[in-house]
Amino acid sequence: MKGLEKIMNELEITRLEKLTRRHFMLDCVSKVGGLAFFPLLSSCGFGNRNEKAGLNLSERDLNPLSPLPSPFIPKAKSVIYLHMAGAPSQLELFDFKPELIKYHDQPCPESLIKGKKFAFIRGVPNLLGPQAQFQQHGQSGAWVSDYLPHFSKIVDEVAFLKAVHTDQFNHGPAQLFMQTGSPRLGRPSLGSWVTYGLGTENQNLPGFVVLTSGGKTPDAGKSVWGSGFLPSVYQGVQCRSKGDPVLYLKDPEGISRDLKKKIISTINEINQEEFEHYGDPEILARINQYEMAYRMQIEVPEVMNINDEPDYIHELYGTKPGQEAFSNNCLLARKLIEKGVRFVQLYDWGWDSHGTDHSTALDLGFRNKCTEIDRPIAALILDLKQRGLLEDTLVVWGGEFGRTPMQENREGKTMGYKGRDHHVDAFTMWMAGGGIKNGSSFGQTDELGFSGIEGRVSVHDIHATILHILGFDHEKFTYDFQGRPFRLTDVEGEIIKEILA
Amino acid sequence: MDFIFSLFGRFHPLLVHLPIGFLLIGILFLFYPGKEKEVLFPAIRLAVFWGCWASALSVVSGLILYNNEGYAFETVKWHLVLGCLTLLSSIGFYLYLKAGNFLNSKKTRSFGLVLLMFIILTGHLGGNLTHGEDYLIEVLPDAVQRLLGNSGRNEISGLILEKDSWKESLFFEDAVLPILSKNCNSCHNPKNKKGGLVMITSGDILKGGKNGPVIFSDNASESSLIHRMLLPKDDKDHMPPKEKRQPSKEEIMLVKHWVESGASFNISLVEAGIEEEMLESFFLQDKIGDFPLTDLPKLSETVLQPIKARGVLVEPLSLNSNLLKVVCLNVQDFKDQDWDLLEPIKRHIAILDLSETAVGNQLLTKFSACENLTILKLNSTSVDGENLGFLKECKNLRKLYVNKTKVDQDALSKLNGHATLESIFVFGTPASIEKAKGREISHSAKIEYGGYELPSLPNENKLF
Repeated sequence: MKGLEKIMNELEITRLEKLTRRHFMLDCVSKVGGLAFFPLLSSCGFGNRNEKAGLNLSERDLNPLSPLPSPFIPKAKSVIYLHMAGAPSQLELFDFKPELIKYHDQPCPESLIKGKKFAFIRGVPNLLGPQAQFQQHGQSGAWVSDYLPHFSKIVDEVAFLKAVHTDQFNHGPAQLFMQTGSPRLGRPSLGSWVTYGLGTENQNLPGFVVLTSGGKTPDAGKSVWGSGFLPSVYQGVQCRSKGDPVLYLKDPEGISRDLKKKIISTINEINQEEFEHYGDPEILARINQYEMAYRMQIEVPEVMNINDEPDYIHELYGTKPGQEAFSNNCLLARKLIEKGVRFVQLYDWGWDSHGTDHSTALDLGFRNKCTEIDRPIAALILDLKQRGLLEDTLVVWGGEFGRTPMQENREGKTMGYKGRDHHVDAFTMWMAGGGIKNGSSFGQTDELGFSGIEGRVSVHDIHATILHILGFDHEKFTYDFQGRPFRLTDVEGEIIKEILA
Repeated sequence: MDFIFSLFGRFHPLLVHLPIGFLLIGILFLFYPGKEKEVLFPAIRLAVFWGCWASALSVVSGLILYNNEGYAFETVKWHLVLGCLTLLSSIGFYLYLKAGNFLNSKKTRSFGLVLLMFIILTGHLGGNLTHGEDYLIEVLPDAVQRLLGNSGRNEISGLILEKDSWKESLFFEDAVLPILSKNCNSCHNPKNKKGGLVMITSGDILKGGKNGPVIFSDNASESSLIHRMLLPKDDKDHMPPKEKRQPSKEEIMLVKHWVESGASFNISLVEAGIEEEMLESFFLQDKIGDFPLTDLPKLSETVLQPIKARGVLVEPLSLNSNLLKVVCLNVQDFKDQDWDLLEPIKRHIAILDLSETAVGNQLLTKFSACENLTILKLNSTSVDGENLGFLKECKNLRKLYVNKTKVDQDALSKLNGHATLESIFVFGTPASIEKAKGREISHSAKIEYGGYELPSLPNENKLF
């Protein structure tokens, strides 16, 4: 026994000897560090506030899409955003530059491109005259090219922004910037902000629906309609553009609606227990999505089915039932807005007219793309107008940047087709509908259409304006994340009053 | 070397803490309750001695600051007088102590107390000068502020004109001055003359600032009053400074117009060629957006609860609005009888959307007391023209939606002459069919019949 005690003693002494000052310091680092780590975690959404509040949930927590009033009386309550992914050429559509015809095929003045970077243009490119014929239209006398003959008839319904600029010349970052206010990943999209701030009126449909056409989704991926740091229930819901808009809407054979209801309630009961245990708001999002999916089964088949629309409407939009088409999506957008959906985002891919082949040539493939959207857009505006929906719906059209007044000379070579490179200094966007001054135009570019000389507006300005129309002060509409409030417009953005009614 | 003075002057807010500290410690020692007070005597004398010098430094730097930074005498008067009194009495106190007066006497202590009072008063007034007079009051609860006679923050509203009387208004006094007082006066006033410039009266503005006049009536673009406002916000000469609230474009244009028109103080708005459109943003609004301004009380949640429970969406028009938007999108079985549910809130309803519900003609008779109803949507309901005339009672109705109903043009004519009704939407109704057949009644409101077409074009389907 004595021997054992001795050994134990020895062990204790050795242990204490090993416990040096160095160990103490090490312990301090890891433990004090741990202390500091906790608030960091909680600001990232872990260790949710619900835990502390004893699961005292507000109505908003339980039903995150319930409608909310905006801080100010809104001019519009919903948005249809038509994004032409790839960036269409403003110089073939809206920004008529007679001077550019004069200088066609002449080298671009060096003063213009000095110090500028382009995605593909190298050295000194030649200027490229407009490839379309322009004419003034409507009472407002807006210049629109013959590539958009139907749109020309409705110019008095829209307000043009002729000198928009961005700071990103690659598609992905530029699309992110246009849709989330930041060229880097991680920020919520415009539609997410709006659904977060306003909720949605129809409880059987998502608040933010995304429809794509043109064969591809935007280069920036699904983040352009992502919810970033907002709860994921606010992200855009992408519906399929072909076949069933939402898969598995129909109950499988032998499963009745009642049984489905029972299944979902049971799943949600389990999820509810899980939530009470962990307090993670993402579990709530999941519960809500299950319930939403169940309710969507009632409304979606009707809303997302364009076949029930009268022939007259099909002719107006030029729909192509059964195919993936921008025209179908325009008609769907109107139907969704009519049913109280807050934000409908349309992406049409195929506008990147570099002139590398037939499909990206300004006088060929680009022209065909214009034909594809011309009738549907004019139809959408007219259809919204005749139903009185244009009174409180904001329609936005644009790409992620513009195209250069110079012809692209990829790798310094003359190219076989006529195309233009990405251009950030000036491009055209337009808005129509609630709160917009019909038939107005703001901003002006220089005589070659290279940069804005008057009424330049930034992407942040456009976001500020959209939020203003929806009843928000973009400087006060914030979400706390990582220990600080975030805004869609970051620290910039001025409302473009010139195009407001 | 003049800058040395200015610099020294600006040290005043720092230096003043020295006499406060020295003298205070001296006075505290004076009231030290312990037994062996005598040992403290040299320390007290020393503290007061330093206090004298520090007071002197403070007074001198204060006077320089007052001279260089454009403070009005009225503003600093009492601070200055009390500061000098503090200096004098501290010197007096030192001499009194030096003369070997007995430390414990009541006389010594009361001398100390008087000095303390001077220090506190001077310090407080000095604080008011640097931080503003409401510095301490500002943070108190509203009720306490009211008790103290502070009516809260005075928001300067800026320029407000009346649509029918603006033509009599003087350009400078009635238009420019309110703009300046909203945007400029917090830094350019007699108490706080930044850049030596005051912008309260016409005289002040004519006088200009440190860099000379701010207005040249013959050279508008050179007038720094305009020039600085038009500079880019990041320019260091831009006014108001970039971190302050910026005047609106309309405000800048109006001030610019005034200077360009000769900067006369007697000219009226009309004489200067100002048109009504240029003033649009300054007119007092009697409605918010499209909606009437009312003083109805906000409804409490208990009133709204039973309505929400039925599935009806009820929300204020905006966060602070007393008017309501009522949407029955999610309750398609909403019937005429269900109106009883909305009866208690009918005066508050501004937007009512009953589209695609089961309501019918009977309902139209019940809108008479909906005095604030501005937008009414009855699309795809069984409403026909029969009771449409009842809507004449809705004195604020501006937009009426009866798409896809049985309303015809004769029914619409019942609403002809409605004072506020702006548009009626009748797409897909007998009325629009009549229109397609060539019949169109004249109406005081704009009627949207719809039925737009985009006839196909010769080369529409050509592929390039």
